[in-house]
Amino acid sequence: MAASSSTHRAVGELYAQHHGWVVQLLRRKLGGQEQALDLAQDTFVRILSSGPLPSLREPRAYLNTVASRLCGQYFRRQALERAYEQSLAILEPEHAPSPETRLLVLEALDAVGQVLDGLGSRVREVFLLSQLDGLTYPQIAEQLGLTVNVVQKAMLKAYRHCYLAVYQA
Amino acid sequence: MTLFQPADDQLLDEYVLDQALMWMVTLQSGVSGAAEQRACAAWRNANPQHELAWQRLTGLSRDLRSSTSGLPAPSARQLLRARSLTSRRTLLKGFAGLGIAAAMGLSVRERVLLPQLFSDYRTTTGERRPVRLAGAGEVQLDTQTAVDVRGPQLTLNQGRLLLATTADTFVGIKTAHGWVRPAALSRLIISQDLAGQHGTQVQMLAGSVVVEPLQGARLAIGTGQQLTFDRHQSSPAQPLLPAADAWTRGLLIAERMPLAQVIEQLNRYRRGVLRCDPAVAGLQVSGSFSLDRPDASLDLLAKVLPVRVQRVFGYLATVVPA
Repeated sequence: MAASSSTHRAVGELYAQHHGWVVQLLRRKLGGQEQALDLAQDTFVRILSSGPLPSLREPRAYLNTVASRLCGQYFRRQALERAYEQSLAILEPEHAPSPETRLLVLEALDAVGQVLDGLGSRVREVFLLSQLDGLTYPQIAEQLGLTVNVVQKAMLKAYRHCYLAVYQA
Repeated sequence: MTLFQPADDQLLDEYVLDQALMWMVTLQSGVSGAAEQRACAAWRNANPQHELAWQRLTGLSRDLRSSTSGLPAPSARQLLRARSLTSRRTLLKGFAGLGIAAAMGLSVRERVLLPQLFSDYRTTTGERRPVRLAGAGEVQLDTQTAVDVRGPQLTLNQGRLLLATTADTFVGIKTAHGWVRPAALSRLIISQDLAGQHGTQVQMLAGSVVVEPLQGARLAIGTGQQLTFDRHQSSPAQPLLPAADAWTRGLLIAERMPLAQVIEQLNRYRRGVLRCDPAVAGLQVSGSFSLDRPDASLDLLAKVLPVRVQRVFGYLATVVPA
């Protein structure tokens, strides 16, 4: 989405006044200067690309919200990468995927994870057992110790969540 | 890659979305039939908005599958689980707020994650697959089987597996009932609580093994023997059943086996519910049946025995007197 020039100006002002503060905030959360600078940059890019800036009485609260969300995504990505590395560690070296393949797998999984973010773990598990494993609702119910009715409700909730993540983001 | 991007920018009514969600969830249940399919097709045809909503939802499912197509479904699920486990740790860290706490937060995260990470393999109904473990040997998982891997130790949570140990490593297998400790270069089948079996069964194809019930005495058996143990004790060693490893080749070889037992085994390989009418449960069956095509095996049974198979939507099947 192209940002209008007035949005550009407003975000520019925000940047000038608060960039240092955002970097500091992120350094506390992340522990490193370099990632803090990167994510601070991402924070302002995210704000710039999300349309007209709302009028902000507490600009730092808003910046904190956006930066924290990016921070959460960063940590989840890290956890995903670490988990993936560990899962590969028990494979024989000749079966290990190439670095390019690893990156593609991680990118795609992270994209799925972002769409599912915010769903409870049980609802997510139900949804993935249906979509990825192709299990029927009675099979999911049996595997997770739920009733079929609960499985069906979880499916509705998960589908709606994903839909809103993509179509009303 | 353009996954999870809107497929169009049209407006969609909220209630149309609700209806589409209901249809989608109904048709994916695995228990709906041709009547529902026809009704859904009619609904989609009735209004372009309906079709639009339907296409958006099927697009989501398609993106989900293609994003994880490089991985077995259980691994993809586990990776996603690991990814979101961290967010809780991060939350804690946010409360602490200081650099030093952040460093500690990392170690907390490691401790919480490590035991549940990726050590977990699961097969779905009808699936059999090999798992190679660096240094630990080779494992083949039967249908509906779940194992955890922690370094040189396997935990069999459910189902059945074939394990071939390598020369230089020692693997202990844990089940709900105790430990199974095979010698190097052994081939053995371990199953836990399969239909009609209470406890852990160990079948030795080659080599030797020591079993240790959690609260009972150890027992060693060798090639051509099998035993079953629970938490307290082990059965004596018995001769290995013929064709014990036929399942690894996708076969069920029955030798005067009661029909009910054959059905129980096929049921583990077949999606849905498979039942045997008690009136024919005791019929004796001899022959070789495909586990990979359980419905074809049912049809074969109906040819050689005085039985027929009643199917409802292909999901529920009952073997009844002909």
